[in-house]
Amino acid sequence: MMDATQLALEQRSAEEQRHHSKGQFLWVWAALLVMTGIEVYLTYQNMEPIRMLSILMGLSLLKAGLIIGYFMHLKFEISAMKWVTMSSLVFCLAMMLVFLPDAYRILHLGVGITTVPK
Amino acid sequence: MPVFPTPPGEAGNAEFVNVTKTAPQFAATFFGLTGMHMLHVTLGVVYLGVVALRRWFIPVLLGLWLVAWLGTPAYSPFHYGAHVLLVAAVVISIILWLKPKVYDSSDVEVAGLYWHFVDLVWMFIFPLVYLMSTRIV
Repeated sequence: MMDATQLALEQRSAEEQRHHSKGQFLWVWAALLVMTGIEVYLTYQNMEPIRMLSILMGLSLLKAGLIIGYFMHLKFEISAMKWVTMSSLVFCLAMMLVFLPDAYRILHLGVGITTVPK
Repeated sequence: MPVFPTPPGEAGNAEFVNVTKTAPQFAATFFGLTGMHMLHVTLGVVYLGVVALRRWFIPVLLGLWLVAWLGTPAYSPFHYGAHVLLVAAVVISIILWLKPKVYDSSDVEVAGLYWHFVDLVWMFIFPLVYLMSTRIV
């Protein structure tokens, strides 16, 4: 059994071996800022909503990938960790699509209340 | 006047007639999303503050609570909303009293994961709520 000091030293050396350089995080941050700038710029271009939505969501997915990969360190994890986290994320997103039929019902069929009180 | 829970029968349905025209759906969605996000960012600041400063963060938090509470007018939602900081100060006091510790690299990692998860959510809320609702003519 290791005591707390040994454990802390071990953690510190493991952390140093990972070579998280500050410059890399600054580059990622700059890339996120640039993509946010592009998103805001697009807002002023008066394009069709569906087209703008597609571009915005594409850029947001890129930004999300950078954040998960670098800021949340997933890029530096073992592949089992990548598979477990990303497959559960996809599963959760797929479960949220369950609500789409309800949204369709509200848009096209109304809220379904037929009895109007006098 | 809407009542909760809704009484059964026709009287209960009355408030839902023309609900899509009468309910302030944009405002409800906008402030629901941004307000909940603000709450999570606030709790993230508290989390990072405790990991960085431990019990020394409690007076900082109480100071922020007083500034936010007394510095906002009573009609502002932030006036009573500031009490989230007071509740957080009480909760972290209890936690640090029950389990005082020097936070290690894992604690910093987990606090960072929470912070960046909230950040990740903002990547989608910002374009959807602010940019998609903009109409420039």
